[in-house]
Amino acid sequence: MKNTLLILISLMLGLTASIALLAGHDEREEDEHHEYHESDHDDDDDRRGWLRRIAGSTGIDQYRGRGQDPAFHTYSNECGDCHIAYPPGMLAKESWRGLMANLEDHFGDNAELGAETAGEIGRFLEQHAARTTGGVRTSQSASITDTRWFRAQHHEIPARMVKNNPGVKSFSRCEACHTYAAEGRFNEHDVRIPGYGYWDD
Amino acid sequence: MKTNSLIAMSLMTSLSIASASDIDSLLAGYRTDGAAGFSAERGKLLWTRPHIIDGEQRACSSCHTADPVARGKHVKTGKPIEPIALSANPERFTDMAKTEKWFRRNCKWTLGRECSPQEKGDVLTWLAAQQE
Repeated sequence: MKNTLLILISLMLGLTASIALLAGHDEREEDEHHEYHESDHDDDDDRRGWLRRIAGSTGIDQYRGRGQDPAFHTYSNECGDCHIAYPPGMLAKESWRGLMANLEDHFGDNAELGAETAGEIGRFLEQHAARTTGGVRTSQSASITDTRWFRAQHHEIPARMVKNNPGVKSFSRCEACHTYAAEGRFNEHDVRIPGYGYWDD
Repeated sequence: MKTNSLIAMSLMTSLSIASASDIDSLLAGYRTDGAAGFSAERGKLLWTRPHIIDGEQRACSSCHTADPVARGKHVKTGKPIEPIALSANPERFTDMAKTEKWFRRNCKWTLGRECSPQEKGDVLTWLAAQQE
């Protein structure tokens, strides 16, 4: 009798713990959902980075294995040939559209693509573009570094650390200082400026 | 024995290594498009000759360096570029669409126009002959 009671109690405890765990899990899922649709999220506020948010993984193969949008693979392959695949959420839809319409003069380089590939990438970028209002993440030149958002984020960084720094040269080379840029993470705690060390503001 | 040949076959299919036949089929395509015999000498000249485009001096070697066996570096972004010569980088020219995409982009940037099938064949012939 005593034994049966003990078994019952431990069963109940186990059940409660499982429910609590499940609830916790649900909550996290909801968080993710919320973050994904949030209109004013900052990539640098999200420690997991855009790759994990969009792709569910920083590994392209794993992402493909999940049977999700193959355009992600096309984007990172085609655009990542010359520079990091910039997070689509760093620019507004209309700016991505302008950029994709002018690949023949892509910041001084020729980056033209076949119509089908360009179409696939354009759709992907617009689908995951910034949803901010007020033109914070738009730029006439379609350059991420010209957006008001980008400038506000980097206003404390003097030219000698970037433009005049042979280890960096340009703000467009995110990966020079953002040590996890390749994995899609831009958190300011991971910033290490070549020749200057870790950045802390 | 059967296992050995299976392993060999799967190795061959999993590794994409440019063979003479990849280059040959590219060259055959250029011949079909009107090119005649190819010259490594002309290819070398085209590779190193500078052009003034948009007030800038540009050549293939601006990014790929004058030595095709060496690693290059994008003149603007600084991104490393793997060697262009087949002997140093067996993955080169294994994907025809990729080869044509880069010829189109880079000829336009460097020469201000697309390269002719003759020019592409000449450069490819020269690049294929470069030994590490």
